[in-house]
Amino acid sequence: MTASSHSGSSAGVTRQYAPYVKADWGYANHWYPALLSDELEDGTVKGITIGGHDIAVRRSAGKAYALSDRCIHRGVKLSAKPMCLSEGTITCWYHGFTYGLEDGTLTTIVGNPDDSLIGNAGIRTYPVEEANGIIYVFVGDEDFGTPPPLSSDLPARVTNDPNNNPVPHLLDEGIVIRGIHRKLVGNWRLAAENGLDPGHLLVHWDNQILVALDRALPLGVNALTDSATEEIDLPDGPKGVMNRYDRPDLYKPVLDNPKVNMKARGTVPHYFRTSLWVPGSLMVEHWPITDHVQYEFYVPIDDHHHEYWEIIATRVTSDEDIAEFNFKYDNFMLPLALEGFNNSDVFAREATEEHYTRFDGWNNEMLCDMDYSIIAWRKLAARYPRGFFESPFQDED
Amino acid sequence: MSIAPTDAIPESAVTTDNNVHLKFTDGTKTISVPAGTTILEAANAAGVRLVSQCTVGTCGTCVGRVACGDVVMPEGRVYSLRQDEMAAGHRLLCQSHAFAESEVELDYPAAMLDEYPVIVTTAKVGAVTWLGESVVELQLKLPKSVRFSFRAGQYVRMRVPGTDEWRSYSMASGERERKKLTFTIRVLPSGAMSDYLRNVAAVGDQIDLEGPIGGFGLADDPGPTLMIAGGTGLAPMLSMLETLQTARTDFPIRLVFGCTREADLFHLDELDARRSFMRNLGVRVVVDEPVDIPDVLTGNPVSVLTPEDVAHPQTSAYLCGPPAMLQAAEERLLELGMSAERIHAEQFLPS
Ligand code: FES
Ligand code: FES
Ligand SMILES: [Fe+2]
Repeated sequence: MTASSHSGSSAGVTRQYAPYVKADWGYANHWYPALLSDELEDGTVKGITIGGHDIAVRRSAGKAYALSDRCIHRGVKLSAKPMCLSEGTITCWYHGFTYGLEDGTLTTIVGNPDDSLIGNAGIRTYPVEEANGIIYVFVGDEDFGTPPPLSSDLPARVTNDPNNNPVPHLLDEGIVIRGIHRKLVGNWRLAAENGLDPGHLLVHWDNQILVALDRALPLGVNALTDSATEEIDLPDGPKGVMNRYDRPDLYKPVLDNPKVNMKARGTVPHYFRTSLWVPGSLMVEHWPITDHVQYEFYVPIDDHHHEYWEIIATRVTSDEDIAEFNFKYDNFMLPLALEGFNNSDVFAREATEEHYTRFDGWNNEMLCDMDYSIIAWRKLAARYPRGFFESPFQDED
Repeated sequence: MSIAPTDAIPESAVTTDNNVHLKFTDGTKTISVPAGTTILEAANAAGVRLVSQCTVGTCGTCVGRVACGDVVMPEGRVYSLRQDEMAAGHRLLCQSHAFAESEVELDYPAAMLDEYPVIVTTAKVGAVTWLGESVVELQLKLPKSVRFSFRAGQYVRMRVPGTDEWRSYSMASGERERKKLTFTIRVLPSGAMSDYLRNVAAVGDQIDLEGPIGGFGLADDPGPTLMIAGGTGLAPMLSMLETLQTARTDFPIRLVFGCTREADLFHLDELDARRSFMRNLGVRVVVDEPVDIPDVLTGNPVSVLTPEDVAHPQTSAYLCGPPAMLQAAEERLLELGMSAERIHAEQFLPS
């Protein structure tokens, strides 16, 4: 390497996963969560942005549709003032251009039903799937062709649970899902990497949920071999990396560090495992409590913002199960895990953003042993770009 | 797509095909407009691009001025043309039918609608990085306001600062990067660009640039790819590799990269890196003289070709390098049974 590597530049290293470093705006041509089902009542429209694509999501006769959120007439966002005048259509509130939901064709103009443009123009549509309370949209090139199955862009279904009790998959039947999502400052990759990062336990050291549950959380977990992080590359299926915390032979927990006089707190051991998947979803098995699973999505909005999704799922067989889950969700998991514990992550991610945007952090970072699984993730993610989102703005680089 | 309601055109009148001469500001193109077809439709069918938007006669963008002949739009409709404009010969070409051989004037150049229009601008040097003893990577930043796009494999001309000498270089960066272009340039003992790069070049310098130029680039069929690059002929291959990264095919990509001397080699780590994230990429580096670098072969790009490289009948070959290498490679590929139309070559001359 050249002399510049001594001055802290990691440009030579980032070349090993260059496509990932380039993916500021995220990976195009993937399925992303758009809204929770109960956020989109029948007859309503919501506007979202994924990878620079402004998308209007509209529910009509129960079914969700996704269309470009930009009127072809004068370019306003349809979602700026939702107007749904009939089933199967969406109307622009400004001059009444009305589009069919199935294919986006201009079907009428409210005040000019004989306009020559009708039937000859339209906006693009996006494939939609809805499952277990989440509406997913396939976002990317208009000419991509048939999208791959939704399951290929979600965390894999695990079967190798060490206690023989695998957590539910997002597409399983007989499960409940609750969750939140919020728009955050920061590039999607910083969030994704934080989710996987085995080295960041320190940030959670004083979190209420751990104190309340007396959880034994080490100061760190150090990998003993490079198989501690497993690459999962299923043909036509999900691609991801997994920290094999289920294998005690692969990790050494650090319980105290005399140099700074710090000891791990808590006495109750608890098993969980984390994995990160293309294009940006996390699975934390048996978190925040056993038999539950936390899924997170880091959905790129633009190069400086992402939508942070936090979802908890568990298996249920009866209405009592659902009531019990809802009670725990409202009174424990939402405030202490999704808002409490995860807010430490949010704080850390936002704090990272400045370095990576203004100081070219991708080429000026000094990763250490602890970061082996982040590197494994970057390399894996670099191999599967179906495409890249690009800035849609014409007035900026 | 709909056409203008032809029933509004007297049937008897439209019976023959008529030639229409489209006079762009940069030249004339003649198309034949069949009876019952609009001029816009006929132009589209002939591959001649015209400015248009709505295609139904409402927006007014497709306007042209009829200098002579007979061009008629169906009556009984409201158009976005005023009476005086009609009288001056203006017609909406998406609605117009030709009743006689006609000449239509357009107020824009045909080149404006090319997919990758040529632009002339002044770029700024963003970085000058020596990749080895004799190769420099030059990074140019284009002004924000310039809309530049290109196809991987194309090149630009640039004026050597302080001189009137122009030189051509292929983009080594991908087509996704439109404001920041990189070039890999061989630095020779003498020569205008070589002297500039060796002695003068500094970040912030201004360089006049014209492009994109050239028809070298990936053919659009998804068979295996064979790339043969001599020296800085590697540049367009790097650009095309970025396109292939997201092409979603599993066909093998074989890159043969040859240099005369060890000292001329560059980008070996870059190629290594690309191999790590492009699973279907195989790289063969070859040097004329024996060298002591692992995995580097002795010989030339042609001598290390194998029948296996072109065994698949859909293989496309891309060649870029000095003329002698191109010729040898082409002969060898033909000998191995490749058909000539699957061999694409870009020649460069040292300068
Ligand atoms: S801007 Fe939407 S109808 Fe005019
Ligand atoms: S294209 Fe709009 S009027 Fe002809
Ligand atoms: Fe965390």
